[in-house]
Amino acid sequence: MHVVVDPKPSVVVSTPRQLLGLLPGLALLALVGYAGKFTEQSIAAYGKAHHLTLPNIEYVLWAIVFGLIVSNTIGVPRIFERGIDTYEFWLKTGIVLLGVRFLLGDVGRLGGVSLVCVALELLVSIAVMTALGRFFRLSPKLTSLLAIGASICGVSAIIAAKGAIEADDDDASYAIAAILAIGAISLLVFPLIGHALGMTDNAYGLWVGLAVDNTAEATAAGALFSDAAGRFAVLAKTTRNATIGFVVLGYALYWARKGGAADVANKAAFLWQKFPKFVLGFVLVSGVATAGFFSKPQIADIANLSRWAFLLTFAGIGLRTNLAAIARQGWRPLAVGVVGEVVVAALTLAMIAGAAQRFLP
Amino acid sequence: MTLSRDWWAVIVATAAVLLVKLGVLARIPW
Repeated sequence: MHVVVDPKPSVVVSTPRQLLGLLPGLALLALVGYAGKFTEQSIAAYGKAHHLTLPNIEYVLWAIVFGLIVSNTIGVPRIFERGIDTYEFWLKTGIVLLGVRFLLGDVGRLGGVSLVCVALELLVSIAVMTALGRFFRLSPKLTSLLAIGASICGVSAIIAAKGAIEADDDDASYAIAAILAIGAISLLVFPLIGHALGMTDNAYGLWVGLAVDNTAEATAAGALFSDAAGRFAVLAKTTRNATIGFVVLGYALYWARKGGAADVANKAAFLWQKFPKFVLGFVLVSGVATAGFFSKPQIADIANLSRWAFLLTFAGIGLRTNLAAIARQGWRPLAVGVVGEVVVAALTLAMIAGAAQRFLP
Repeated sequence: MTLSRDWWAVIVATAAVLLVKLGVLARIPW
């Protein structure tokens, strides 16, 4: 079985030699990302110079498309792989830095709205995915992995759960491929629907944060709509990510009771181990910014650093997506994923419509 | 002991924030 994404839990950089090994991939991320930004700016400048109204296609999409073209035509040589794998690290760094754009009160208020929506979304997606997995006769553990991936945060949740419920590599690989394929489709579909429905930045960002599974794709799908929508998507998605430990623990206990996995001895330690620590960084930076620690230019500088970190992430999404490998995974997990996601997206959209009227500015 | 990617992200971002606060990193373009 070809593993689409190599589940590496940590970036281990302990020697200068290993650090050097990251450089080719980092340079490629920067090149592809900057090519995306350059293309957006060039098209805008051309339109302005020639008095043309050209569609504004964000650098986000260009960076992903350029990455996809490179990885699916000429391919990515091994020497670049380690550096490209850091794209998730840049995503998390970008999210922590983005904390500067949120007042802690907003995080609490919008996070609270998100949390209620997240709780409903978790119940809905777990129920839908479990029912679909049974209908399409997927293995019970693959169904569990898809339900976890769809309900919380895609790839990291599946990797976290894989060990906890002792699932096969094949099942994890299938589930990751399905979630990534759906993420790629979401990038195209969500902004179109958001514009067609005339959604506000807040409502759209919240919807994307709840319905798009992988954090990188959720951030990109939000940023494709608007800068503000991107920030709300990150906030909603971060809230959702924070629940990862509880859902994985629930599944670990379920499989332990069925005799399919080892029991969880210390539940508090388990929750802490699975908790995404970058969420703490996000809240910390937001708290410091709320306390008035930064001047306006400093806030702008930190927000721009966050944009550069996301630029590397978006390039990484394209460079790490292997369309042929996704196609090889077979149609059934993908079918479960797509049908499940459509149902979840529709239900969360209805939830947002209700929440938007009462809670969202 | 190795740090997870999450902790590295928090450390690097915090360092960047401090450098901006100290004025070492300034006028970051976009």
